[in-house]
Amino acid sequence: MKKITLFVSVLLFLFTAVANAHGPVRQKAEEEITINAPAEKVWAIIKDYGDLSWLPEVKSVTVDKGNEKGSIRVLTLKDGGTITEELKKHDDKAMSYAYKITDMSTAKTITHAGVEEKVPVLPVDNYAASIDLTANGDTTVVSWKAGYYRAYMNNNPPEEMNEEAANTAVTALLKSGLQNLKALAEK
Amino acid sequence: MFQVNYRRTSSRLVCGIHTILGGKAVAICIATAFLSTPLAAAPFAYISNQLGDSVSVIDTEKGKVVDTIVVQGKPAGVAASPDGSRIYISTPEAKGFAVLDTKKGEVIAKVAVNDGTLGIAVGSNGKRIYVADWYKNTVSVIDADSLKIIKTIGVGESPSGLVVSPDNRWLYVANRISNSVSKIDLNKLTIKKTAQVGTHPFGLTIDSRGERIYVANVQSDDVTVLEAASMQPIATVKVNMLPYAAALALNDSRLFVTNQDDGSVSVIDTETLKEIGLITVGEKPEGISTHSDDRHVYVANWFDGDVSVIDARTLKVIDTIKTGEGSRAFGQFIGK
Repeated sequence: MKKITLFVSVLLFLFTAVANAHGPVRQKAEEEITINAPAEKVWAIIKDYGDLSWLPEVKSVTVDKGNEKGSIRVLTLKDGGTITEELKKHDDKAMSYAYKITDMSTAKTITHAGVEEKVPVLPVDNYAASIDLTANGDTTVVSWKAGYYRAYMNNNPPEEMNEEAANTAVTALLKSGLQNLKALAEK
Repeated sequence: MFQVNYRRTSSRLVCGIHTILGGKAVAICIATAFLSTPLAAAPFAYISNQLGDSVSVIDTEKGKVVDTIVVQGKPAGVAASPDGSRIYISTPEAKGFAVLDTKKGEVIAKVAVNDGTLGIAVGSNGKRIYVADWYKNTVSVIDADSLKIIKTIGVGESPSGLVVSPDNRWLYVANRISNSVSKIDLNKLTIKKTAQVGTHPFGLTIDSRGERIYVANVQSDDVTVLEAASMQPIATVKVNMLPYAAALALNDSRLFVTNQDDGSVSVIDTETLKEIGLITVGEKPEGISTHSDDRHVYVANWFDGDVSVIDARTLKVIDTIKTGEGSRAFGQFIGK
């Protein structure tokens, strides 16, 4: 029994070790949109961290501590995948918030270099992002910035988990989110 | 350059007397430091732009970029040789590092080392280069003249920041995943001791006497203060979100720590070991180094692609200099 326990903890340890490393080159994505609506109106749509009804890919959200720092929200995507995020900063006055992905479900499993690799629903690792509003008269500039690593943590990534895959997925997410936000706010 | 060296030598000499004469000499030591500050020539800051595959050269006197040098392989870590003649830049995608000749303003050599070079440092006498490998969990020791690998030392998992003691006797390595700092004996090239620190240590720095190590722990949002000789922790100081790297200024009295996810720099009084200020800089601040005037602190803002210059006395950002895409500058990026 003892032996088994030891073996399991060694396995767990190895798993943790592998899960914590990341690729060598951090990537970034930045999207900006000008919305023809006052900042208060735009902020009212997005300020609740637990409300992502403006983000087309998301089906539902659960949140544990509202807009409090450390609040955890779990996004269920339309395709069934989940993304767990932690609120790092929420500033009502500055109309901005920042968050981080802490966990994701697997979109698919591939075999690369003889090893099974789980491709997360958003093919990134160590993802942190912030969304900021700037009032500009009757219009609002919304800026959404993300920093992240590719999903693959070792050298020679498969194409599903390389920098290009990460950048394409994140850019598409930010773009569709901002476009939809604009459509909602300008209604 | 000569004047800088002279200043350093003379103030060290006076401080040496202090140990013999006691209290009285302290005043002389401080006075010397004040008087000699205007003598310092303005050095250059070398900022690695990881996404732009380049290094921006900042003339710190003019406060602007005077040259941009192409460095392929996603340049990340930077180490300036003590005399400022060479800058070593780790290039993880080129699996090694590049050697920049600062007079010529060009890359004069590329050295293959290992799979995931990141942290890089140069010995206090300029004779050896140390390169950490993120994937192989090693530190390679390279002869600065021949650029040949002398030895490769196994350390903890995902070694990140490296710093050499001022007396060139020890190398300290932050092992990110092992949550530890290894102390390597630079005569024997073996590990002398390993200390547990906070969660996921990344950047680290050492004071000018070689007595204390300050380690930024990215996951536990704090700084571990280690006594260098015994490797015992003295204190843990809470900072802000994702502390990444650290630098000392004003005669080691203040520690500046970049908080990557907060877009800020925490200021810690090294006597009380309390946070005394929080300075807003650009987005995703990463590398941080102190100018040889011991007063101005340079911070590379990765997301914004610029550098904030902080006055350590007033704790204000006095300048922001545009550099390049993904300014990382992890390491000692200002020549002394």
